[in-house]
Amino acid sequence: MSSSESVESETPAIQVVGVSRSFGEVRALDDVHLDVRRGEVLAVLGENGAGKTTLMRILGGLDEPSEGQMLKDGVPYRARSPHEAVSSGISMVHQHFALVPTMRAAEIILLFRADRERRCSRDEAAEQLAALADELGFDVDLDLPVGEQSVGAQQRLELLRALDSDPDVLLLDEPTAVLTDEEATAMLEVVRRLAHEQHRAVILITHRLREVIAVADRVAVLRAGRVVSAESAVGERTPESLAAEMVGADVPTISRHERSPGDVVFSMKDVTAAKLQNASLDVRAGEVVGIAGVDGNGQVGLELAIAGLLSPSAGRISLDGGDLVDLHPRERIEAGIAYLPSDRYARALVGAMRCDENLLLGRTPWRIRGASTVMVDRMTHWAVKGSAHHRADSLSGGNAQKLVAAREFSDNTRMVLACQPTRGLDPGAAQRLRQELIDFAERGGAVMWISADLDELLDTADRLLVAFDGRLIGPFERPFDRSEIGLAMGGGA
Amino acid sequence: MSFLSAHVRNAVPTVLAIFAALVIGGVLIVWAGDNPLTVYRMIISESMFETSGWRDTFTRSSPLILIGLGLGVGFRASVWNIGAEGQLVAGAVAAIAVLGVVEPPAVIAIAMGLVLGAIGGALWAAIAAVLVTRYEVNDVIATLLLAFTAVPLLNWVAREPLKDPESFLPQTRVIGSAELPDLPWIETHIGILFAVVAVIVMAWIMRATRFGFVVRAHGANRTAVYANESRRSFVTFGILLVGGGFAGMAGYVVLAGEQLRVSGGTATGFGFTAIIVAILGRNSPIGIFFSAIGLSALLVGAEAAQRQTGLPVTLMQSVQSLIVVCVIAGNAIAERRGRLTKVIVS
Amino acid sequence: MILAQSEIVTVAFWTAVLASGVRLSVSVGTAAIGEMITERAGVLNLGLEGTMIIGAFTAFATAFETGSVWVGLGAGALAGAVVGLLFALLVVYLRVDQVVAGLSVTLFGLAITSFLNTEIYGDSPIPPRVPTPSTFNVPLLEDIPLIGEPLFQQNRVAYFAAAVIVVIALFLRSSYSTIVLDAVGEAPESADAAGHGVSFTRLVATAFGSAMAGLGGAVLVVGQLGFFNSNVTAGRGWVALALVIFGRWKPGLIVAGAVLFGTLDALQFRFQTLDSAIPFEFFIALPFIVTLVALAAGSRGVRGPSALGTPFRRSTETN
Repeated sequence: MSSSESVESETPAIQVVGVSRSFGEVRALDDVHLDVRRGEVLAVLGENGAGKTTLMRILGGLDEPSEGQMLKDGVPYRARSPHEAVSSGISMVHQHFALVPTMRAAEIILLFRADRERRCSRDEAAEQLAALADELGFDVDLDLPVGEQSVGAQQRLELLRALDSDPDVLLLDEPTAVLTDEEATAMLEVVRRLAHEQHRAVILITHRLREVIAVADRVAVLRAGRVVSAESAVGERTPESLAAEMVGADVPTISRHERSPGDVVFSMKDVTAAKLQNASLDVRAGEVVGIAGVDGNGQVGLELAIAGLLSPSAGRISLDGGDLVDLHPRERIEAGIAYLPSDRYARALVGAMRCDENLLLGRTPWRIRGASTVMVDRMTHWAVKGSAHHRADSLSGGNAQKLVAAREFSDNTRMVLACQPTRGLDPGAAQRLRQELIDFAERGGAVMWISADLDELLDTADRLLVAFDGRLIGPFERPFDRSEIGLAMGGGA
Repeated sequence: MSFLSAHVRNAVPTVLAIFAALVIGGVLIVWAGDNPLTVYRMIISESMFETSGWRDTFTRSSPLILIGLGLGVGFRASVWNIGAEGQLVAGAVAAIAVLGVVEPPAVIAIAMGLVLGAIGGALWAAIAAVLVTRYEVNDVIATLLLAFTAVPLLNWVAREPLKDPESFLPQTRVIGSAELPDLPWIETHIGILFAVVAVIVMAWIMRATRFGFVVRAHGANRTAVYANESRRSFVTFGILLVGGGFAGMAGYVVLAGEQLRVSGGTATGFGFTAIIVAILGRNSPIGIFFSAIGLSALLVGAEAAQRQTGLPVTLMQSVQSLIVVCVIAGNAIAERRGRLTKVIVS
Repeated sequence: MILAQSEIVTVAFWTAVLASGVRLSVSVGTAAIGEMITERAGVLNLGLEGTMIIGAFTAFATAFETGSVWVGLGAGALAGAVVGLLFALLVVYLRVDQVVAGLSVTLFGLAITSFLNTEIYGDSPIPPRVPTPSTFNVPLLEDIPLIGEPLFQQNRVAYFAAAVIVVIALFLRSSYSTIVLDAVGEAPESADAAGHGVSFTRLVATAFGSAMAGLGGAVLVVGQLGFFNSNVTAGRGWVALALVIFGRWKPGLIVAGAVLFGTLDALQFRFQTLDSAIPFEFFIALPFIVTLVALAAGSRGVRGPSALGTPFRRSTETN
């Protein structure tokens, strides 16, 4: 269906004219021109760090442009807060959900109705919500506090919240990031209907080519803050050409050699911790074991149990035959587990302390003598860009992760526990980190790689397990069958 | 910007704030019917330019420094020990329980006194530590309610089990050979010497040991510490014990330096004043040293002023807290306006 | 006057204890309800004890000068609100550390009220008094054994405070403001995205909570004791903080806790004259010990509002 023909004549719902945004010396957006019409889905495609989120935040009222302007229905538009954006008819689905975990859906809807006229009783709001959900074909739980529901359910409620104000324009920031393949398909179908049937304008921010092809009418590619290709109709593009534009200059492909793994280095049997239940797996020397799955399926329990931060309620964990359960952090380090946590700023680094002091965390002798030459050498080896004397939170995401790696990898490292290691890194840095992890395996080390990025694992893992609902499904061996794995991620195995 | 000039620039809002608090104090003095300049001049001269004033200032500041050091460690790590008063009492009681009865030679007795005081205070803090780490009770409430419990306990101890059989008053025996002698020339007991040594030791600990590193890191990001360095409960437990130990030692110093007996009057409020000392001293050993002396001077002077003009000491105590409020407000305003150089957590 | 052990089991004894208990619970309960509101908005106010005593002194001085208990109460609440506003300015707008600021307020309050009291009313061991309000007896209901006297023979100020608490609890149940209040304390970013002023809500909640604390102090001094001294609140502000945790930030449980504490307080006071081998100092310490035990039993896994104690900064603002 060629919807673009039917909407040609209207003034675009949103026009972005020459918008730039600088943060100090960093130019996050550079002279961006875009427009979106009612009744169509515009995908804004780009990698992390390309500027998509900055653009979204500006449109949604969380930020303002340094230069340029925006027009809504031909009239200059400037929102100083999300609330102002909503009043102008622009509603945003936040990547991290603008919900209140302890409240029920109806109360959250009421919270967002700051303008008096639409306020009503909690029961009435619940009814309206149920009706809206019905219209879209959604299942919603209105009784359980939102925080206790699954991530997919929260995503649906977040969408309903955004739709409550009946917006002309809907901004969706990576809406399927936390969904299984099945849930994602359903969500994208709803997105399409919102545009084509309900005649809204939808801007969809994503880095997934599949989504773009599946649901968008037109696509604009963003790279390093600039629009690389403007709004071609999706039908005229191939995934390869889009990927090339998205990623830009040649990012080296990963070089991976087939290896025959050695003895079992790490072993888990019937471990239950937090959401994880009865999980068992082995990692052998020279092997990369990938744990795929969207967030919230037990990966955090897995990570914390192995790192010694959470006591499993059942099961055995061992490294080189030695018991690994309930370790003191220093014991974990001594045993030779290099831990790259999923939230590195919370768990791995003390932002307010110097970089070289961060290298000491967990490794200080009783008397500190300052970062040894060994540590400083490692910083050089990992190419951490930044002075050793500066605060750790002054480093970019990629360099921060490299700092953590510089600290964690040592000569006696037996296994790397890498949790979402490339999240938030720009493509070049991410690729280099992936190569380092593979090289470590090729030298005989064991790697456990937890990642929500299935493509990454398909490229690097020797064996794959899927985390779903607390269980580990698999293992899947090479050659990987993507649809089989995708099915497991959605629960149907 | 050099290290020193950054610190000097950062001190400007603090100095202005102290001045502002003193001005407000001056207004209150006027309301009370006195001349603020006269009163302030009296405070300064009495506390710093009279030998008796000096002596009292130093005597007063030794326990404050000791307690302040322990609290400073805690506050740095965001562990809030508000019950130092109770730990001080426990330390004093522990010391007198043994040293009121046995009389070893002076040097040994004093060493014993310090150790007993530290143990007593640490044990009392350990109760709070268990409540906080195992039972997840809020640290402010746990330490404080234990301090409130310690005071009636103190009264009972002085009234019954440890009471001096030769006295009519509810007080214990005199501490014998463990009494602290005076320094030569100045008539202050050697408690101030202990305090100075403690400051130096603590400064070294904070800068050059793993413990100090953990404390600094814990205050900035405790999650990272728990993931890499130490168990959660360990850090809190250890820090509370250190705080209690120092407060307990201060209890011994108070006992053996001035009061010589334990009675209801042993709980003079040092534990609470030390909170102000630690806050104003920015939780650093050197800062605590100077703020303790400054605050002691203020109070000693205020007491002298009370004797001479009838102006209640509580006015200057109010000014103390006012200084804290103004200093934290002043620093926050300066930070907002970008006037503060971001100093690295050290 | 010794309390014989045999008296403890009589109904008369317990009725009297409960009556005292309810009377003693009013001031703590009022302050605790106020702090509950402040904390649900995400602000931790450790200045509660200081605010209570400032309210107490203001109420006393006003009642003394004007002769009216009710004007005194109003003045006490007002004084509390002013303290709350200043505290809110510090911690909400200037983002000062809430623990440090709160402790300073308490230390200041204790010292300044002592100073003002000495300056204005002197230092004599027999402090000046204000007349306390008369009792209001509910006919018939007051004759119910055991609970009749405690609930239906209290003085007017107690009924007033209880009424205020009930009104607040009912209001919280069904009001739109509660949604905003709780959102600000749990997920301030969401409340901000919804267009509600996080800082303003916290300011109002803190000022209101402090007003209640001031009222609690006023009730204690003007509605109950009739005099003021420099330690008249005797740690009640801290107990109120503990009650908020114990009551899981819900009014019903907090009130129940307050009554429990008040009863304990009444009991320990009587037990001091009990003829037994237990030293009377133990009874003085008892309420604090029991509070600690109750918290130990009930604090496991209890999390208050997620944003409690954390200043809010919109993510667009750089540091």
